[in-house]
Amino acid sequence: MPPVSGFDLLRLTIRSFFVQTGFSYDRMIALGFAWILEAAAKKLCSSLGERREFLRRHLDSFNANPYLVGYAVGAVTKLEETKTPPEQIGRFKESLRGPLGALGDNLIWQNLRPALLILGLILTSRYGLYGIVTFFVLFNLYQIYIRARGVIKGYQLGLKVSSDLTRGHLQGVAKWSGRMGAALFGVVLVMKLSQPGRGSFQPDEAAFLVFFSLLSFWGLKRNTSPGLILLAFLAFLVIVNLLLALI
Amino acid sequence: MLQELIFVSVLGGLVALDKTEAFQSMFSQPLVACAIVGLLLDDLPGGLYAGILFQLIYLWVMPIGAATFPDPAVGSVVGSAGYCILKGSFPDNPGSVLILVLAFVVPFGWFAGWTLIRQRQLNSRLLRKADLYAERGRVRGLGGLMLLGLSGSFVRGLLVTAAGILAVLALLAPLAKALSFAPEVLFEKMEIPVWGVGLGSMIFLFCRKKNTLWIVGGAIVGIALILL
Repeated sequence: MPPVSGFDLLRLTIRSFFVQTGFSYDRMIALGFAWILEAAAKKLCSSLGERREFLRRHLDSFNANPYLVGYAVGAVTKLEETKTPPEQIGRFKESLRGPLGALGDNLIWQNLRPALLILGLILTSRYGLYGIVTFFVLFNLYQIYIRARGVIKGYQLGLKVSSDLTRGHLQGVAKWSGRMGAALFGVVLVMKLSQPGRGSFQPDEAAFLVFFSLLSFWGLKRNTSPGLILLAFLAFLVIVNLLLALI
Repeated sequence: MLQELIFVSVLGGLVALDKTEAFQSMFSQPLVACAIVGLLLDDLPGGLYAGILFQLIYLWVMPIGAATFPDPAVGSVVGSAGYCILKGSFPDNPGSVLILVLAFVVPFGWFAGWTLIRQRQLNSRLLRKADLYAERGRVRGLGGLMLLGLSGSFVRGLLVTAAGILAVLALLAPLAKALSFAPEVLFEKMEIPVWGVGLGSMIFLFCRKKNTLWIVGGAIVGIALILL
């Protein structure tokens, strides 16, 4: 069989954008993961029996952060290519689930995405569409990079792919995104406190803003959606205003 | 108008795809999606304004694994379309329009999130079909199942968005008319609690002891920006 080529790795990277298609609660991203690997199946399986087993084992339950799934895709491709025993591939996939989920969630959902969104919010408030374009371009440049890096590193390192996960790139980006988010939060806080409403600074408006910020934070700490708090407040405001108008 | 509403519904289908099934490019974030709604409805400032507010409300949402969460993408497309349409019909009452749209978007986002859960439950059927393909060694069959998954997500987004816009027109327009007699000044400060929700989410995400210096640094930059 011909070896997996650079073009195959490119196909795997492009297909990784669809990893969550067909997500189900019982087997998570299994369908998407098996479909991604199908791009290299011709080179990995020589007979019908091999293809059958190949599909069966990759349709087993699997989950990972979608942005970091390339690491699993690349490494599993390498293991399939070197004819690693299926049980070992299964154990290896199982061992990657936790780290890929935790690292990805920390990197993307808790740090990079909100930090870039705050940057986008500040720039959009001042410069309109340019803020949105900045957010979108920055996020997607990194998304393409991390997906391609995942597939390539995973394929190069195979079973040792966790060495790249712990080496520091992901932790470094998460740490610096967190710092950027914190700094941008400082900028937004000062800007909003100085002008909470549409007019100039009003102490009562600033106090109201601080009160609602802390209330939302308190809600999030207790797993209560701040949207529900906002909704309750809106309902209260509408009722009071209607009563006032009727009186 | 009908043509624009069809375009917005198609956009709802596309953001549903982007949010969970394919790409995850953040095109489905309210900040981006609402701006496109503004462009489609020829009210870019209205779209940008709604996008900023909805993004603040949904900044905390993290679609992690199998967690249950609202669908900010479809919810904010419907909300921004509703805001742009109603603002045009009630130009003297932007505050009351904003309140109604916000009050509609939050529960509607949860409804859209519920439809996503149902869709993911239905996706189990695709897996069962994939098992049959595996039995036969039909590797290529997975492509068709992926197309079905993508189509299901797109159709869900499209239908939920269309239903949401119809609900906005049927429910919120008469309510906006009913509220239009209340003095607008009563509603003017509605942005403040929305920013409060956003700031609360930022505190939740970034306020750590190790980040103190960065927050202080950012605050100094903020003061400099105001003074300049």
